[in-house]
Amino acid sequence: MKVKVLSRNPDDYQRETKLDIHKVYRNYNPALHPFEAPREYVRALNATKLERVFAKPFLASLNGHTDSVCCMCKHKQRLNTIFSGSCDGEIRQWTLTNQRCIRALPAHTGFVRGITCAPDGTTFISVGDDNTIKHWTTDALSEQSHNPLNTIVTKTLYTGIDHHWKEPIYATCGQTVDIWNDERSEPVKVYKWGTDSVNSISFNPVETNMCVSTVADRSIVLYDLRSSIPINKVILKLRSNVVAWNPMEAFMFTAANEDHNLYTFDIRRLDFASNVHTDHADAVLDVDYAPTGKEFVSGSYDKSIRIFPVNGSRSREVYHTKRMQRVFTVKWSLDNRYILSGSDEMNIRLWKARAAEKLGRLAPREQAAADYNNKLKKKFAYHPQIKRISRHRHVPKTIYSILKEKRTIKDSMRRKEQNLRAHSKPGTVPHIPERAKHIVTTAIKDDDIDEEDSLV
Amino acid sequence: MLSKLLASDDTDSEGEVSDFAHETLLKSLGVDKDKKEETSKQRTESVQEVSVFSLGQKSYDDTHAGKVHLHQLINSLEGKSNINILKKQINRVKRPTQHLNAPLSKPVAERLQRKVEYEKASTTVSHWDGTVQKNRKADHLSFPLNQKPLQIKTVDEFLFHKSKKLTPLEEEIQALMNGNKCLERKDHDLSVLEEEALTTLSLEEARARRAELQKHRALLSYHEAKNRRQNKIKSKKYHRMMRKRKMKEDSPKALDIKLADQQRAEERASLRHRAGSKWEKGRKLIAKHDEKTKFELDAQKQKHEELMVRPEPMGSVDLSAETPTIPATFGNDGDAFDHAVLKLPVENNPWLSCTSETTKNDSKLDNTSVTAKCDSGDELLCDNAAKSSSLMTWLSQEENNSVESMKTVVPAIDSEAVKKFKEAFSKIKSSGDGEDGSYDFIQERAENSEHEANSESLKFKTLDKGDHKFPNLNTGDSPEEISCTNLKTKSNSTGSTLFKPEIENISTSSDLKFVHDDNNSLGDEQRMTIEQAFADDDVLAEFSFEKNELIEGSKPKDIDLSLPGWGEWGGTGVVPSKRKKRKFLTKAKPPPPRKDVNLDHVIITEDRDIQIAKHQVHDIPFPFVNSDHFEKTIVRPVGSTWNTPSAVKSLTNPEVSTLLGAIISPMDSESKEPNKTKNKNNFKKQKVGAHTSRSSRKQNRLQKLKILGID
Repeated sequence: MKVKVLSRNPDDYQRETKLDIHKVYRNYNPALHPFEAPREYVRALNATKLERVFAKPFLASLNGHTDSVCCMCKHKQRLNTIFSGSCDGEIRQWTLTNQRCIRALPAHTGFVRGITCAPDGTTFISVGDDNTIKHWTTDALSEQSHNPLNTIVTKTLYTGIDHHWKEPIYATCGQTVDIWNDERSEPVKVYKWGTDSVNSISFNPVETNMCVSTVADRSIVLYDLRSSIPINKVILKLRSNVVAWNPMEAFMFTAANEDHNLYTFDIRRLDFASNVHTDHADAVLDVDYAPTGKEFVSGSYDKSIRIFPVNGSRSREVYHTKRMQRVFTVKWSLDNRYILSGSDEMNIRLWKARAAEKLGRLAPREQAAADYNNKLKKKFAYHPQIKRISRHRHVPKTIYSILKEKRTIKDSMRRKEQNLRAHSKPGTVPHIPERAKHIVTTAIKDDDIDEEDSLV
Repeated sequence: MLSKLLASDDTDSEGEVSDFAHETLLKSLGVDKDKKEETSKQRTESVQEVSVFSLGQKSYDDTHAGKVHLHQLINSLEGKSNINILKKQINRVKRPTQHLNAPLSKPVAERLQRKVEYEKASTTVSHWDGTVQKNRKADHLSFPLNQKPLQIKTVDEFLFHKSKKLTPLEEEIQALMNGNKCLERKDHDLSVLEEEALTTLSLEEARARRAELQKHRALLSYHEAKNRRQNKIKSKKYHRMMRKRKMKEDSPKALDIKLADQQRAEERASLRHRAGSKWEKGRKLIAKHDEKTKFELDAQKQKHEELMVRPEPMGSVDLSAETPTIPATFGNDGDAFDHAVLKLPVENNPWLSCTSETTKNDSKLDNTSVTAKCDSGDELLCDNAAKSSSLMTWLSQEENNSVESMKTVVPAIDSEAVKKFKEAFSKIKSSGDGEDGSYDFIQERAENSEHEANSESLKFKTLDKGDHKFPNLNTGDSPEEISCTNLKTKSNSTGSTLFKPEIENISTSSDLKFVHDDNNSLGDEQRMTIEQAFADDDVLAEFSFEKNELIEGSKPKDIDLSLPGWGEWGGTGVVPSKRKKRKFLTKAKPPPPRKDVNLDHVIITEDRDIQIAKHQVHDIPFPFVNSDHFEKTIVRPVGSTWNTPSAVKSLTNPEVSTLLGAIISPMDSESKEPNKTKNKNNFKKQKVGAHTSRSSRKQNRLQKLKILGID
């Protein structure tokens, strides 16, 4: 029997060349597409699985330091240049395009405590354990490249440095917080509040006259260069190591704390953290914001790097490798695509900020497909399978067990509190939100109490 | 008084002078007792060393102060010219002095300063609220911010900003444009030329022009009024007349008018058999009392139904009916009544191709379909139901008969129309080809016969003006029409009766099917093959069996807890007693009625499917308030399969996009938005956070939903 089939004109569906796109005729009538949601769900599930398949965040390792890397600094005008300082006093300048070290400077004796780059990108400044502040040129090919442009010998040890985002001013911290002018060898201004030493200092990138420092007495202190004294202080239960400002929101900063958490604060409300970011299994040593201000990266003593959304309390990503030790410093590149981490085992690692993202320029169709997949993942994010797959990460056993233990402890504490509340007079055991639990007090609040006391 | 006092003194004894009396005495003398004491401190004799303590005592003159006061000094200046000024100055000095407080201790001072500075810093930072809120809520952010949008300059802008020298062509154009009076001006309604024309018009000319315009307007309004009046006239006759007149005016040929009348009649005719026509309405009233009218109406109704039947698809006809259909068309003049005759190609139907192949075996096939078009003058009528049915019977009976035999049957039908039809038919048969323009022969080739098969379709179209000839029709204007196409005749030469079935779909609603007996062996064969192919498939029974099994399986079972041998003699073959069985048997409750009890063709499973449940969302996720809301967001597709490209683009727009290789610098003071009071309130609300009521929390959630871009 002869079988008759439908025949079509090949011109209707064939491409003229292989570079053409396929002609697809569609009828958008919803009656013809009855299973939209299930089909999209399957696509979302596949996209999520593929994302996990393609999640290969590690890009390169920059090795060359002969001691652990303790500080890093991004060039403010060039994306491919970074500076790193190690515990043996060496500063190295790296080109990220070919992942090469272009110069190594024996800058200090002892630790390099901090490096910062001037906003114009011509110089960078370092402080070290040898009580010196050294100015260097960023130009590796200049004659001056191996000698500091300027060396300032100071009386006390400085533990941190940060440059103003617009003006030729930088701040150092140690016994006191000193504000320096690029041109002068004496501090322009000195801030001192209490006797404890200051660990780190960071300038606000938006409201450029403000800066914030972390102090050994567990406090975070807020300064305004226009006033003669520090303006406020918040004391947490444990010491904060570093503070990073949100580059898009003038009043938000995040502090990396010793209690394995990060706290995001609004400077107008220091008695209440606007978010508590938990996930690390050990003290958080460094934090840096993405230039979009939507996410930040944190490096921890638990040998892992985590990426947190600004408004989320749990991390969206954790990076670790077998060989990576304690992470002392992390940076988020200024084009929002890469993350750099400097760790104890003398390496600087280059990571992708989004693990499954394809690097380089995407073809429009690739871009559209990626966008669509991302949208699907977001749309079906609440579905259990998709949630499970997208959240699944392998972590080292140590971290896994610590986190498990922490969870147990937390649960038990919660249970205990609930029991206490249940068996005591109503109102005697108040609910203290997690965001306020870790904050001891603020200076202004303290002052008010003192004043009241004096009035009485 | 003194004597009195002295007298009183006298009355007392010397030694016992009362104190009171002594005081009063002193008072009367103007001597104070205290002063007296003070005065005692006065130096009475000159001493070399003067004690400092005795200096500066109160003088007798002034009771209030021991010092010499300024105003006392001024008294000495009495009579001098500038004494008032001096007095004022002195008064100013005399006011109680204000002392500066002692400076605060350093910690307290710092505390205050800190508070002030902190408040100041908070307010400066709060200026960013608007910007920050906007960016947080934005559906899409493209970094770096403040990228200058690509803009194409207009020609004017381009020329204006052009610093280079103009090309000669541009110069020429500009020169032309500059001097031109016709050019439109931005700031004026009229161009220069138009304005000039306005100003140059003289008064006389303007008046004349106005008069002309007025006249024109008046004429226009008269015409309008006339038209309106005419439109209001309800008389149909009048309108018909008017129309005819107008047509005459337009095209003076009388022929055209006649033609138009015919067209109209045909148009009306095509609507004749619609239910609820005017004619039918009129008949209905009479039908109650008049049997004849009732019969007419029934016939009409029947016909309507017949006409409404859709032509069956060929395959089914071929398989089910043993006779092919022979629709015939009797219509009016073909030119005006243009039927679109669509032919379903038999070769394309897989079920029929088999049949047609079998026909191949037969040597000759004369597939004739004859379409005859009669003149409008030929009044062929076979419109009423009785007649049509008779024709139908005739045609059905006419099986394997030649045209000659057909002739013999014809007298049975006592209709002039049929006679005429036959005449025409014989004419065609004899001539074989169209003789005059009124006959239309369509030659067709049968696909699969090598021999030329003559397929002539004869289309009979008759226009009925039956209102004159057939009183029983009693239709005013509506002519009747019967279609009868594809008349099949066997080929005389072979004697075998083989017809290739052919469908002619006639676009008009009226088409009549005549059933013609056919050789049914082919259809049977076809059917047999299909039946053989699906011989083993009893899908329905299978389904019902499956369903029954499922229902039985899902029924709850009785629970028998009786233990054989318990409390009784044991051993093999022990049967628990009936009493025990009854006692320990828990009867299962009848299951709730199934949803598919009355639906034979479906199985509705109400059990939870674990495999699917694994993929389903159990709780409403956080920002959503109710399940409907959530479901809606899920159901709405975002892909390009369901949406237009532009919609897909907007739906899948990422929240954050960055430019490749661009440094994203921190927020700039340029991009600061003016702060809105609303945002400030928002911030306050956040502060209060813990105390917000439930409703406001719900609102916040909704707002958050909005922010997330889920709607």
